[in-house]
Amino acid sequence: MNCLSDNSKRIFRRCLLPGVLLAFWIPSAARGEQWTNAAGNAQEAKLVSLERGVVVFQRPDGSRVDIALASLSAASRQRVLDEAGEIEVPERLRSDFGLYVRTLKRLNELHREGKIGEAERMKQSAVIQAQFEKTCGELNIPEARRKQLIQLAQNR
Amino acid sequence: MKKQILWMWMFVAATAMAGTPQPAEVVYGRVRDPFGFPYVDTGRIRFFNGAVECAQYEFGSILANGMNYRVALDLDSGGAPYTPHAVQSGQTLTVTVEVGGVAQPLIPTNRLTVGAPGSSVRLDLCTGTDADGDGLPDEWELLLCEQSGGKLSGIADVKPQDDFDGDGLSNQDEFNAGTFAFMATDLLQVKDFERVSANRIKLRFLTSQNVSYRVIATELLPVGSWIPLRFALGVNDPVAYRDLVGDGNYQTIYIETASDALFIRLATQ
Repeated sequence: MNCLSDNSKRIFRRCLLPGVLLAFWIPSAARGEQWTNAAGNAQEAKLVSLERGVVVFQRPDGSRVDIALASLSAASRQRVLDEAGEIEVPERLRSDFGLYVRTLKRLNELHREGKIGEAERMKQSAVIQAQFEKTCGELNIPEARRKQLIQLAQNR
Repeated sequence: MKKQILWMWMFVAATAMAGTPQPAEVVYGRVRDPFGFPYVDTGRIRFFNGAVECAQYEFGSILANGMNYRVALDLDSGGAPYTPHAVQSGQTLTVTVEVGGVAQPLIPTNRLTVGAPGSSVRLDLCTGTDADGDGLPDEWELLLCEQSGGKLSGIADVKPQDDFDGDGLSNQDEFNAGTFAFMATDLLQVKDFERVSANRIKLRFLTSQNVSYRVIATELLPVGSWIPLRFALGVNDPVAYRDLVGDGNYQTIYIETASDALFIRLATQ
């Protein structure tokens, strides 16, 4: 490095870090949508959730598929666990989170069956979301985490 | 010789004072959260005799008959317990339910009196507070107030026997079934009821997550006894199940009967 001028060193430092980050980022972003099962078959999908050993994926066409975590390849399995860890519901919040998810799900089912209108579905969804946010506030759940959990509940 | 007699005396005395093991008492039941749903993926129930823990169970799934825990208490005949966690008939134990490592308030009790050796007892509990002592958790009642659109202003307005949404199910029944007590169009009922073959009937209904269901039937109203019917999950599957644990979606089951003179009910456990 001593043979390089100060200017060259500066340029090297400016380019090296973004270059290294790019080298890591591009393959991982590409890998992020690709999942492989134990038999080696690959499938493009988005991870939705992991619950009691069952992974829910969303295919590019929007359809959902449930797959046993154990049936994935070791690498995919680890990635699911890593990503699901980011959206794990804190234990002290699980009852309220469960209530939130169940209520949204039930409202959607009743709406789909024509038992309630859209206005009622929206109104009651807002009530239960406010209730959940209130509990998050009482438990000092950070705002970013709260939004993440709301998003997770709405996707389930 | 004197020494031998002394040893024998000490042995007899120790034997007389020590308790002997008795058949265990089984304690089972359902522990629900303040909104009426059984715990399945978090929490545990513990039984204490003073400071000594006698038994514990970590909630994991819905067991037979809609229960979510079952423990065996080791019983002792009396005197010095044969093991530290053994208990004796008539003793009062303290019950705790921990969620996230935090002990929760319990409804209706946090006490259990130990029964006879070999007995079994059901103890259903609910976490939460019950300031008005009506058996419904305050948390559920306050949520119903929020959902009522201002028609209910506090827990005193929510009574178990009332039917706030006027759908024919009491508030208590809606709490038990996991249905909306504020919405007349949501109640425990069979949506589709259809004979699919000479001896099979299809039932489809909206379930509540982790609530356990049974189909019961009688040939005679109002005095006949209601008997659980076995059911299948697929139209051509054998009728092998008696309990259905709800997943929160519409679910379909098939019962087998050739009779048209049968009264059928869907019930939660």
